[in-house]
Parts: sequence; C-alpha cells; structure tokens
Amino acid sequence: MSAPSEPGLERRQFALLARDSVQQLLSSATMARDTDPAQFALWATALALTPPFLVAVRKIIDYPFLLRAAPAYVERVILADRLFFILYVMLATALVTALLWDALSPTRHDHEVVGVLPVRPRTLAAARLAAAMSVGLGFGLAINLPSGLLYSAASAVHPMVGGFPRVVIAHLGSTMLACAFVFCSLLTLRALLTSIVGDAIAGRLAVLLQIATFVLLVQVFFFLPGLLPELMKDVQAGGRSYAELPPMWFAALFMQLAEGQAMAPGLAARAVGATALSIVTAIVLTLVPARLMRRRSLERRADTSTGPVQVAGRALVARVVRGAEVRALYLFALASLVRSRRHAVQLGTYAGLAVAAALAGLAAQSVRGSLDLTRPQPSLLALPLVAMFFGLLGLRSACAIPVDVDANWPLRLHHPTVRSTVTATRLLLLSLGVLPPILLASAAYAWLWSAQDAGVIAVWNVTAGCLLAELLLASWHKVPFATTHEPDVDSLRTRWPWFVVALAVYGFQLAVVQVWALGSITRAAGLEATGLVCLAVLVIRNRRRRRGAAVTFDETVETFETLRLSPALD
Amino acid sequence: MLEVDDVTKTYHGLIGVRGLSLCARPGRVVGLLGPNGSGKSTTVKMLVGLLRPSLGVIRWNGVDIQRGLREYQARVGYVPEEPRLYSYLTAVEYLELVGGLRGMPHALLSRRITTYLELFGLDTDRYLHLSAFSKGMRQKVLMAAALLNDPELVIFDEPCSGLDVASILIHRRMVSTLAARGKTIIYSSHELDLVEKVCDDVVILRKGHVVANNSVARLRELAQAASLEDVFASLAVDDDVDRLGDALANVSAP
Repeated sequence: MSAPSEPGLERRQFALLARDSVQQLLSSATMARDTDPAQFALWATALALTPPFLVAVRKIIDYPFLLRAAPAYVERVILADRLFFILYVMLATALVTALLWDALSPTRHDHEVVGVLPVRPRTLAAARLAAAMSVGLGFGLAINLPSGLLYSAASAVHPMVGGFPRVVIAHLGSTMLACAFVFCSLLTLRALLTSIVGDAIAGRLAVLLQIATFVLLVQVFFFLPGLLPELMKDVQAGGRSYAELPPMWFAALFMQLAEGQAMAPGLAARAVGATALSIVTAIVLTLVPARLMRRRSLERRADTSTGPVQVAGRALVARVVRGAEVRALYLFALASLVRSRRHAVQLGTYAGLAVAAALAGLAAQSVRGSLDLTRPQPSLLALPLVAMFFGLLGLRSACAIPVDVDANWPLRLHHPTVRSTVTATRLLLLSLGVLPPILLASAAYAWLWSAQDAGVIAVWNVTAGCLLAELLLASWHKVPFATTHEPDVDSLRTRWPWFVVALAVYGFQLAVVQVWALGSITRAAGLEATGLVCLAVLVIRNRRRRRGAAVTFDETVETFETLRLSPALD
Repeated sequence: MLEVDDVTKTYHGLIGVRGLSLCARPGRVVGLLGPNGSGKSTTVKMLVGLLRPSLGVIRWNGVDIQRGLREYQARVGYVPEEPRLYSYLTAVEYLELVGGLRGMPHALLSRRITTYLELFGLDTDRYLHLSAFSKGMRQKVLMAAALLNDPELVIFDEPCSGLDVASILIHRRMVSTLAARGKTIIYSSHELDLVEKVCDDVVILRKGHVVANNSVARLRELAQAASLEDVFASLAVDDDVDRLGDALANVSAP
C-alpha cells in the first residue's frame, strides 16, 4: 500500500475539509433543525454589528462639538470611544467562540467519518483550524468594517484624532487584532482543556463562557460610560494600573497607529506580541497533538455518569409523581435537556441575560453607594424574580425545540394525553426554573435578614413562579423536546418591547410590591391571596382551553410567544 | 386476530400499497416479504397505526383500528426497521420512557427492564448512552421495548439487522415461543432463510401488490421450488441478478 504522497493531494484534502468545516462550524451554532447556516450567519452578524455601528453613527453627531473642547477632555472622550469598540469586539468574539465551541476541533464523529480515508489527522485538524480562523476573521471584519469606516469619518473632523486613512487603518488594525487575540486565546484554552481534562469538561466550559460574555456584554452598555472617565483620568495621570487589562493594550495600539503617539511605553507592542503568541500557540496546540487527539477521541469510553440535576429530578419525581406517563415524560424531558448541547447553549443565553439584568440593578446601587444589605430592598428581592422570568422563558422556549424528531415515534405510537404532557412540562419548569432560584435566594435572605422574611418571600416567589409557568403553558399541548419546531422569526425582533415591559413588571415592580408588603402581615397575606386567586383563575382557564385537545407532534407556528432567542440567533 | 381488508395507501397520488389483504391469527407468524420499494414499510406503518390507509380497513378482533387507535396501539409491540432511538438516553432511561408511556407500574417496569437487559446481555451497559451502542445492541433494546408490556400483537420490521449469529438463534426461538403463547406476529424481513424458518404464512409484495399469500410449504409446492428463496425469485425479482452482479463488480475494473 502506498501512502497518499501524490503532490497536491493533501492540499486538496485540506481545501475540501476546510470547506466542510465552515459548514459544520455554522451548523453547530444554529439552534433549530433545518435552519440555513448561511442565513443564521447573516442574522447573527447583523445583530452583532448593530451596537458599534449605532455608536459610530452617534459619533458623527457628537464629534463636531468637540472642536471647541479642551484637549485633555477630547483625548479622554476619544480614548473612551476607542476602548468601547475594542471591548465590544473582544466580548462579541468570545460569545461567537462559545457558540462555535463544539465544532472548533474535530469531533469523534469527524474522526469516524474521515479516519477511514487516507487523510492525516493533522490535515483534518489544520482544516478545522483554518475554517475556524476564517469564520473568526469574517465575523471580525463584518462587525469592524462598517463601524470602523463610519467612526473614522466622524473622528477625522477633529485635528487631534488623525487623518481619515490612518484612523481607518488604526481602527481596523487594533479591533481585528483584539478579535484575533480573543479568538486564538480561547482556541488555545480549548485545546489545552481537551488535552488535559478531556472533551466533556471542555464542552461544559462553553456554556459558562457564554453566560459570562453575555453578562459582560450587557454590563458594558450599562456601566462602561460611567467607568471609562475614571479609567481615562488614570491613564492621563500616567497611572499603570490599567496596563494589565488587555483592552488597554489594543487601545494603545489604536493610538499608536492613528496618532503616532505611545499611550505608555511598550503597551502597543504588548498587543501585537500577545496576539502573535496566541495565534502561534493555537496553531501549535491544535496541530501537534492531532494524532493523539484522534486516538483519544476514538478510544474514549462513553460517559455513563448521571448528573446531579438528573439525580435530583429522579428523587423529586419519585416523591411527587404518581402517574407512570407523567413520570416517563418528565424524566425524558430532563434527560433531553441536560444532554443536549444546543439546548444548553440556548439556556446559557437566557441565563446570561438573567444574570446581567439582575446584576444591573445591584451594580447600579453599589456604584451609587445606596446598596444596603441589612434590610430587604427591591434590587435584592428582584434577583430570584428575574432569574425565574428568564429561566422559565428559556425553558419554555427550549421545550419547543426537538432534540431528535426522527426518534419520537414511540411517543407518536403511545399518544400521551395533553394533561400528562402539560403536567410533565410544568414539573420541569418548576423544578428547574422556579425551585433553584427560590432555594438559593431564601438561603441568602435567611442569612442576611431573618428566616421569617426569607420564608414569606419564598412563599410569594413560589406563587409568582407557578403563575408565570401556568401563563407560559397556556397553549402548550406537546411533548417537550419531541415536536417539530417552526421558528417564528418575527418574535424577538418585533415583540421585544413586550418582554421588556413584562420583565420590568414581573422582575422589578413585583419586588417593589414585595418590599412594601413585608411591612405588615395584612399586606403580606393580601399579596399572597392575590397571587393565589390569579393562579386559580389561570389554572381553570387553561384546563377549559385544553379540554378535547390532542397532543401535537407537527407544530406549525406557536400561538404563545416567548423570547425565542433561537429564532433570533437563526 | 388482525385482518387487513383491501387496503390501499397513496402518497400525493403515488401508490404505496394497492388492494392489500392479509390475515394474522393468534399463535401464527406471518412473514412479509418483498423487494425494496414493494410497500413493506408502508404496510408495517399502517399496521402499527403510524399511517392511515387511504382506502380499505385494518381490523383488530373485528374492530377498525382507526376507531380505537389508542386502545389498539396499547396492544401492539413494534420493532422498527431503523433503530431510531433517543441516542442520548441510556437503555434503562429509554425503556422507562416506553414503559411509562404504556402506563406500566414503576416496580413492574423496573423488574422487567432488569430482566430484559440481563437476558439480552446488556446489563453491564445499562448506564451507557444508546449512542455508544452497536447496531445489534440497539436492536435488542428495541425488542425489549416492544415486549415490555406483553403485547398481543408484535410487529417485527427487519429485527435481525446487526444481530450476531447467537442472537439471531435466540431471537428465532423467542419468536416461536411468543407465537406458542398465542401472540399474533407480523415479521417483515429480507432474510428469506430466516423467514422460512420462523414464519407459518408468508405474504409477498411486489410494486405495492400482493403476489402471494399462503403458508411457506404451500408456496413452495405451488411454485415447485426447493426453497422460499426460489419462490421469491420467481415471483418478485425482475432483474437478471447474475448479469447485474457481474456488471457491478466490473465497473471499476482497470
């Protein structure tokens, strides 16, 4: 047998595999089945480029007014704006990397398919790496180019900023390098984790990374305008505390390229050096152990462990549920949820939004110095409510997306009743979306204030959680994770104001009412009674609506609207 | 007793099965044979209630199955052709899902799952995700799922796909014993040798029509053939198999 030494063959293999890898990378980030990856990429990029683009547009209006301002002030404003673009692109890149995480390196499936062909493992790994870098580069260019051109045009009106072509080069150079630095650093981290602790733990990190980047992205918009002036003052005063922050390296590079001045000695060089190092490390750590990774991937024994969520779910269902059908459906839904990467990614997005929204209130109070942990405050009581709001919305939305439609034939054959599917789904929502935030918050409240306060708030929150769950299940008549899904692409783009209002009422205004009701037993009882009456009305109404309904397996368009971040990402 | 009476199934104007009639009695194994595209899968899907006939009626103990589909399906065990399973579930979780949907009490279900997994030799892999199972192992899980609640009618569609020789022998014996216990069995397969040994009666389909429906012995006698394979070849195979085989082998020849 001769090895594939034909000249050009390996290059052709590389090109073919790289092309396929781009498709796989895009497919890995799409939520719904049959979603067109190209359409997904377009929408995701459009969504990502909007914030910096809008900021750049605003600068066209703002910058002419700087012509008469003091140079120190102008310098501070310009530096802050550049830092925003850099920080944004770094976080957006981290988020995209988290979404593409699974497909960033060849999977066991890839090795099984390609491994039987005369292709070297290194060629496959190199093709995947090249595809990942191309996707990263394309994403970076797509979000940086429009905002870069606009911002450069806007800033060129001021003589301190530098000429248009120079600013364009500086903007694109620094933001693209920042993008490459984050992307390659995360690739390196992934390769290291996969080598050291294995694929499973590396995979779990993606969800954490996603939540963290979501939280930081939201916080950037909330708090960066407030924090930047302080940072800029420090920079102008010659302080060095900022020098360890990577965004500052790239801001220094921006300044160096645009104005030819150094923010601080060696800072711009650090940006270039760190990026080069991250690229080289990512390449080395991907290509060198390619053969070893393939062997480990193919020889890996399948995971047989049952996670803590499932163990808790089983314990709960054994105590709470009597019906065999409900028990079976609940356990099926729980296993589907905890083992589906797509659903984890989707829930991670909701979790990120929840943490960001909950922290926003707390952080704002903390910055103002009005945060008082010694007594119940709306911002503290809002924490479990916001978590329940996003948790329940996310779970409800996830339940509508199937894991494997082709395998749902046993469910079609056995026709579970609508009552069973609703009960199982309700149990899932309550056990994962209501119980954990209430337990965590109650423990914290009991520690901070008193067990009595914590108990009363927990009772209110249970009612509030049940109420929202019942509202979300008003038109539910399917088996979770087993029905075809037709995303309604307009849901998030056109209806987001409704969700903002709902969040404000449910998450924040209800917390204000709870603080008010904690003042007296009558108010506390009144609030609980109101909640219970609303819940009873909703339960009766939903039961009437479901009478005579059959379980659906082929959904067209849902009648109930959730945030549906999956179609938004689509 | 399962009766299929002049059943036709059309898909968007195309005929899948036309004028199909057959009868399966308790204690008998009815084989369903036919080349690819003959309408076997369509027939099986109609028999399990996944598809509704366009014309004709399927009766279980004299009652149209479409009138009481849920009650009928509660009596049916089905082993599908494609082992489409929720591959992220373990064998136990999958069987718990199916048993739960069939309303089996938890204690009984757990007992039966343990017994089936032991008998199928899967007890050491009970906590392994089905994605890690071989095709034969998945087939065994499907068989266990089909038999969990002791169904009156069992429909096997290519059940031996991926099974090793020992498992096939065990499976053959299991089918015979099920029939001896009074179960009605429909057995669809391409493995003629197996069908000949397992089935009492055989229905041969070709292009959506029934071309033969009789006992194996009677068919052999009528076609003056030594084996069921010869009967099948004379009734359902159009192609010149030798010529085609040679041609395929020589396509890439230098």
